[in-house]
Amino acid sequence: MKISKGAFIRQLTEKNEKNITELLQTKTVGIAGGGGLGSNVAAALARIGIKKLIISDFDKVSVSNLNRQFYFLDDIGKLKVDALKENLLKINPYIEVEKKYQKVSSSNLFELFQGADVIVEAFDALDEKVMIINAFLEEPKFAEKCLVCASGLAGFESSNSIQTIKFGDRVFIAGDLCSPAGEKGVMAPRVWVAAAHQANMVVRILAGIKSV
Amino acid sequence: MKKISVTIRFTGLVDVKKIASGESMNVPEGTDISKLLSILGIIEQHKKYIIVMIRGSKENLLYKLKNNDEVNLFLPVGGG
Repeated sequence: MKISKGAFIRQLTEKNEKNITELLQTKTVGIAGGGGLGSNVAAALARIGIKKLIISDFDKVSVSNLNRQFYFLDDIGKLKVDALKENLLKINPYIEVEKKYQKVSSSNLFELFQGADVIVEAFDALDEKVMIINAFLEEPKFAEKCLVCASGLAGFESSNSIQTIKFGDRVFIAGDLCSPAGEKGVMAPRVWVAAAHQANMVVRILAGIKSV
Repeated sequence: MKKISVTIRFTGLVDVKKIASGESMNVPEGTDISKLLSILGIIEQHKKYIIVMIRGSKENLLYKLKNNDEVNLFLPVGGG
């Protein structure tokens, strides 16, 4: 495909809300985790013309990921950040993707995501979710930034129980807030609902809207 | 013992039956967050995961409550 960046972005975003694309083309979003939430948030943002994503994950794609994550058969065994970048470039060849192969911790959160305008928490494990929220709130250099989290997306309970709420002024949480993974499992439909909530909240924050 | 008033807001898996989210309650002066969570009936295994925010700042379990503090509590659940 031979098409200039300008022409491609214009066509890709032709159906976008009129005034948002120019803004998105200046913005960077950090995504902590390239699993069910993170890979789908990344795909949604790539489709609407975000300029850049910083994605961290240290895991490899496995068959069991394919029930909800934005990967394909030929991604099995690849590092998620490598496979995700390849897949995102198939949607938008001009998106910038900065790959981080580290496990996110309270000590490297700032270093990993200092270039991001908004950060997305896209972890699976409870202790990692708690870690990133606490580390984000404790980092003074993130005082003007927002964190978009997810909590409660397991099973196949009603989609309508998934919502976005605000915790304080800078932390947003998408989910039903009460359905942990485990026996209920995690499956594409409900994980995607939560990921879509997160992606839309990111767009709202980038547009200067802090209400849910 | 002198009492202070604090307002409690909670969301997620925080299991509080004594009051509704957004209500105020009186606690003894000098009460810290850990003691408050016990007063609210929150089980020990949840304490280490609960995120506590007061006036927009994250606080730890040793924070001593002040009169009219608004305490925001959130306990996430895993899955992603």
